[in-house]
Amino acid sequence: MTVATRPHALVEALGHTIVGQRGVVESLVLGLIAGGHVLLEGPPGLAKTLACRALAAALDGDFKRIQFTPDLLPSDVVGTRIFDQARGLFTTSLGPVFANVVLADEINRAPAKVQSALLEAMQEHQVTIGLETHPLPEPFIVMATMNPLDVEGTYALPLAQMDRFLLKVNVGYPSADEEGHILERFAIDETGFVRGAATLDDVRAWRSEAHEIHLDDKLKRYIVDLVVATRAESEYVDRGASPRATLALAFVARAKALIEGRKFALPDDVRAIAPLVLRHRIAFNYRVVTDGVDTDAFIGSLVTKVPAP
Amino acid sequence: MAGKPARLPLKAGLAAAVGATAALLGAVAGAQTYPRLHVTSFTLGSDALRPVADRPFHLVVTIFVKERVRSLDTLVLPNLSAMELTGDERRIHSGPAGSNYTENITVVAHRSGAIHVESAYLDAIDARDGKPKRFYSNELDLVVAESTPTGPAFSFAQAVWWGLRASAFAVAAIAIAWFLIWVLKRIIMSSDIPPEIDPIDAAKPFRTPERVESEEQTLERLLSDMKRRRDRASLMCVREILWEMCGANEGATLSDVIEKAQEFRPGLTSSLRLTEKAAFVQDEFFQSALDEAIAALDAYLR
Repeated sequence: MTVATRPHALVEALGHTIVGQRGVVESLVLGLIAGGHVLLEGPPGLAKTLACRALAAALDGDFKRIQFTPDLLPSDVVGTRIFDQARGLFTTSLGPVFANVVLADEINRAPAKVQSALLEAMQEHQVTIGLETHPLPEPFIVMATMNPLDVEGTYALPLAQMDRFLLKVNVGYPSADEEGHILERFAIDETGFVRGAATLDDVRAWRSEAHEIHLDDKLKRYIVDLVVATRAESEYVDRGASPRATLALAFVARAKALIEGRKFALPDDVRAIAPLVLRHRIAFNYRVVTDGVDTDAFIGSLVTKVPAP
Repeated sequence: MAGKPARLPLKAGLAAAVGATAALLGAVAGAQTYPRLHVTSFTLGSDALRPVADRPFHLVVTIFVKERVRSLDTLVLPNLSAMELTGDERRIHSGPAGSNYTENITVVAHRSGAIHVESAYLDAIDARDGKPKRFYSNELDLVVAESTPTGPAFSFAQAVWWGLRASAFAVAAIAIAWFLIWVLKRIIMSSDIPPEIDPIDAAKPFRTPERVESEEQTLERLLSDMKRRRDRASLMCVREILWEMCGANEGATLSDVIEKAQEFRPGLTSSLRLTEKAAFVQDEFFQSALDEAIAALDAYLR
């Protein structure tokens, strides 16, 4: 009998490949357990792509990478029907979206119709090509990256589409010590991925375990209070978070408790994951830019203002 | 009662005065602006669920609010006309995590049998949704037992036995009183500073002077209450005072409190973790989690 791997072990295994960026690694595993997709935003060269590849390798699942470019077509993502001259009929060629872990690199570089094709697949977990509907493999997780600096020639994701991502992770620069470790590890050697740290069956088991994590009524009230607080009148906010954010907070808090090895969630779990869940679901207005407001700091103060149970 | 005819009008007067004050408070509460409160707990309890007739016991009203308040003027006590009111003590303990209001009402029931005490209530604007609300405590059912054996069954031998016991108690009480006076004299004589005596507030005959309770004493009191009641509400009271002891701010979570505890009260860390676990664990694991929390708190208080 084999002992199932715990989610914490997967986080540790990814830590062997990714130096620092503990928050990013944990967020990827949170998304994996909660069954949601993750949007990573940060300047180039911060191991966003590497983190996604490391996760796919650690899971031993199918991994596909789609480089989003302005000339990409929806069929390049989901697949298309091709005429087979030898047999004289149309056959379906499935696109790269049919994998367990899909990396949508620089998602904002492709036009809206391509983004929509991917986001629809993310939501429905199936793709329709011609008259045939093809279910996507399970588990299925999309990790999309965005570069916030080079905005020229990009197509910003509308709020409604951003809402499809369970988590949005802001990837920051490593500390000086971490950068020293990166230099030591990657200057000489090739990137070494840890393979088989967990199986796809482990992921399915974690998902059903996460559903069993106890969420106390006080905590449910706290989650609702947090989301309602985002809708309070503010000079910087046009629209607050949707009820989808309420559900997402509950899913991810449970996943966080599972990673921590608990069978019950705590207010600490909710507060820790609140910025990840809320930051892309709040519509800020132009004053944020003109007044130079740090939206993450704004969300942080909003979260601390709501009394925890 | 029959042995003290001179005190009857005074007690009746006290009860009438308290009744009038309660009615006046109710009327004022209707007219004034309600406070904005986040009420987390509101209970009515008694230190004796089977009190004995003609013996005083206490009714305790406990309210926890997340705001720092100096008084709760819109609190209305239940009708206690079935009992004689002999005292009323209010305490309010405010900290960064909120305020703990305790009202200790001393009452005497003169007739045996069942007494039903209605809920106390508090009018306030609910800070959660900004709407005016009336918060109710629980109701209370008491069963008053007979005071002493009476009637033909009370034999001469029993009367002698009771007399001897009463005499022994009286002698012991006098000896203890003498000993205490002697100790007090020694303390006063050995100190140059005269002891400070709190002035008696003649305008508030029902209210005993406010006792200043240390945080540890409050914790001990709430812990013993939690051991007796073994429910989540009493656990939340203990958790509240623990967080207050660590200087938790509004909006703080366990990690903030532990960070502060490690600096100022490192011995409390384990108690904080275990009370948090008991506060949020599933109902079926609550009792075992509560035992762990009690063990940690006992270890800290030792």
